[in-house]
Amino acid sequence: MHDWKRIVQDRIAPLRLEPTAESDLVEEFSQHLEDRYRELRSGGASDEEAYRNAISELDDTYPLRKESGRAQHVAKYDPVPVGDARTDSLAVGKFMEVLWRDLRYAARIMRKTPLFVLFVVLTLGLGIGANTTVFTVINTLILNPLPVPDSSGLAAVGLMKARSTSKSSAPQPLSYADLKDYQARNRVFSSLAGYTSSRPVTLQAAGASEGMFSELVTGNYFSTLGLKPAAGRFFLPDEDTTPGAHPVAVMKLRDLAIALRRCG
Amino acid sequence: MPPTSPEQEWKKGSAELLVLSLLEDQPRHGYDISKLIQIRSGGFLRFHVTSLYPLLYRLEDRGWIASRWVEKADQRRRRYYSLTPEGRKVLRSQRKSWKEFVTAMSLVTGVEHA
Repeated sequence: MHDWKRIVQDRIAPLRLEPTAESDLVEEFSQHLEDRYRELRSGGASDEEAYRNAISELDDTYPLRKESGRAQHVAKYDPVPVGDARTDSLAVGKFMEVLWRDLRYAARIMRKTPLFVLFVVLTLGLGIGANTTVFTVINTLILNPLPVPDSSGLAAVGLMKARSTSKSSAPQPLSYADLKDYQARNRVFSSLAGYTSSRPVTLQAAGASEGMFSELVTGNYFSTLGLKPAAGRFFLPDEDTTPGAHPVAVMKLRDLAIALRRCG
Repeated sequence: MPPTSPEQEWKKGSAELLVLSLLEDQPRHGYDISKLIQIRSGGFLRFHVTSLYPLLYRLEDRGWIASRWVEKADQRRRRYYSLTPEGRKVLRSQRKSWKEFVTAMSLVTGVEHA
């Protein structure tokens, strides 16, 4: 049995028709050629003769090329109707082939209309950017706010040069000495606490060790945030005043439970 | 563009009238139209698939004919073309023009219309 659809597809591929229009053309042409072939066969022609005769109908593609612009408009029908044989052919492995053809068609169209493509890309870029910004704000302020009583009253303090030549305008961290100086002169904030970036530490207990992350913070860190401990206590006022004194740590209850369980 | 014979040019000029005439009585699919043109013209006129369907799409674009896919039991689906009211008017007009044209040609060339 001849694959008329494949034959027609190969012949009209150079016309670069819009995929749905091409799909309809292939459907109709292949049906026509099959009818012609069957008629010739029933009239006594050999398979070879009937095939050649039917296929010769596709020899002159000039009228089709001439009308291909109009043929683009024929796609007002459902591209893959229910019960269409094409659905089965996709299911048995032609999906990638069809996808590849569609991608090549899309690439050709984009090459032909670079301004339109630029406009679409910019529109999408701006749209996605605006959405991301809005979502970030909503996520931070509404969906996942800081777990402190008054997050809107919190502010991060950092250092910036008055006339920065750097492209980055991110605030730089303070030294501990600067922090002490700011704390002494502070007349803006009700409290000023310091903290470092997260750093890895090892908890050792009962002969076992557990890796975890920690931050070094000043003694007024938790009171500045307005937090209350779930169990035990936070730092006492004099626990960060003596250099080299016995260190004190505050752990998340969940992390403490996990660490204790692992350490036996 | 490939060279065309006089027959091809005449066929081109009358193609729309041929198709509209065949759709006057009942909807037909493309192969049916193609076969009828060949049979009724005694084999003189024949449209290949690459010229018949673009013509049908053009007529449909103009609103002279309409098409719809029809599925029948144990058959592949086919697209049937039918004449629209607008197409019927055009057919009447084209028939009239054609008669006048043939009459005029006969008068000038001395060729008797059958």
